Amino acid sequence: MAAWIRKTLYSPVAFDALFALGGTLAFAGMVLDMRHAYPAIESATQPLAKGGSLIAVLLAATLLAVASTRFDQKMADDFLFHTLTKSAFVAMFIVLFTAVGWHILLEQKFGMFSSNVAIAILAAAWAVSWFYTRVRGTLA
Amino acid sequence: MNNRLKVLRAERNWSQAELAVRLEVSRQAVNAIETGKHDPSLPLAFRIARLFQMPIETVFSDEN
Repeated sequence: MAAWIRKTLYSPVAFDALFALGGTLAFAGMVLDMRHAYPAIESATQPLAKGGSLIAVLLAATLLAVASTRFDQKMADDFLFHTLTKSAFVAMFIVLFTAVGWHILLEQKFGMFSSNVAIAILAAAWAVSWFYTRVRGTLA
Repeated sequence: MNNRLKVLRAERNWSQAELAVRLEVSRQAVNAIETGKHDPSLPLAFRIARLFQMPIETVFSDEN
């Protein structure tokens, strides 16, 4: 079973398809969601409870992410895991630079983008950096 | 890091897919290592050296 999962689900070609689909949807979603105004955030009536709840969710998500990443590392081969992690690292900086670049250069003209668009930017950035790393290698 | 993977594979008349099966990695992984686009982890480098029955420094070198 583990060998089947490793060979079929954890193959670079399967991830090529996944990122091609995910990236396309993310780019499309990004453009389609541009009509929406930036959602206003209501001020919290119980800021401590809200902050504490957020930290609890973050810690639970951390445990889930650590466990799922450990599973990925066990199932994926050396090259696939390295490609995934490097492209995720690059994607994180793409999101950061995009947000800063937008804020400095385009926000006055077009306004802020929604939190949904921010998620789409992350997905699109990971897809772009995945294909860059697949073509240029993990050392580029 | 340089490696002799392509030469060693060719000497045995193995395809990239055959070598990938023997190493339990994807064919893309073999291709990336051969073309110098990926440096294998230490465990994989040892597995490669064991497969070819050679010291690891015979397969891999850090000289340019």
